[in-house]
Amino acid sequence: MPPLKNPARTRRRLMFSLALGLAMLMPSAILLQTGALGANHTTTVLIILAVGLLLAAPGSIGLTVLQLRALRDRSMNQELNDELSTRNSVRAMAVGYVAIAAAAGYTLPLSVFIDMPLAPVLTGVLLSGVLAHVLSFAIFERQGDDG
Amino acid sequence: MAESELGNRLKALRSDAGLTQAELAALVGVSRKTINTVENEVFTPSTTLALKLARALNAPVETLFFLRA
Repeated sequence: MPPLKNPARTRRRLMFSLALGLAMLMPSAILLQTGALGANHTTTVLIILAVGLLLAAPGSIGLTVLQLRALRDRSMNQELNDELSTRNSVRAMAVGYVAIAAAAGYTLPLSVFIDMPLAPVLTGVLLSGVLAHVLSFAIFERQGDDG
Repeated sequence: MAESELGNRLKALRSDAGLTQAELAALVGVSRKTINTVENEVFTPSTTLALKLARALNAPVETLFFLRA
C-alpha cells in the first residue's frame, strides 16, 4: 500500500464520512424499525438509509484499515496518536457521554407520555453518543490543520 | 486564543533553524498540526514534548517556553 501523505487528515475525513453516514442511517433505521411510516415515505427513507450506509461503511472500514496500518508503521502511529490527538480523543469521548446522557434524559420523561419501543430507543441513545463522539473528534482534529 | 500563560518562541527558533513545521514534527514524532497549535499557543505541550522540541531546535527549554508575567 502506498504511504499516506497526511494520515491525520485521512482519519478526519473518514470520521466525517462515518458521522454523516450515521446521521442519515440512525433516524431512518429507527423509523423503519418502529414501523411508523406510511407506504408513501418508506421508499424515501430506504434511499436515505442506503446513502447513509454508503457513507458510514467506507468510513468505518477505512478507519479500521488505518488503525491496522498504524500498528505496523511507527511514524504513522506517532502522528495519529500524538498528544494533541489524545487530548482531542478524550474531549470527544466526554462529548459522546454527554450526548448519551442527554438523549437518555430526554427519552425517559417522554416515555411517560408516548409509548416508545425499547429496542430502537436504546439503539438511538447509543448511536447518538457514537455520532457525537465521532463528529466532535473530527471537528477538534481540524484545529491546526490546513485542509 | 491562549490556553494558559505559557508563551513560546517556537516559530522564531524553528525559522532560525531553517525547519518547516512538518520537518520539526517528524523530528519530534508528532503531527504537523500539533506543532502548529503549539506555535499558536492553542495547545500546551507536555514536558516531554517541550524537551524534545528544545533538543530538536538546539535551544534551552526555558528559551523556547516562558511564563508571561
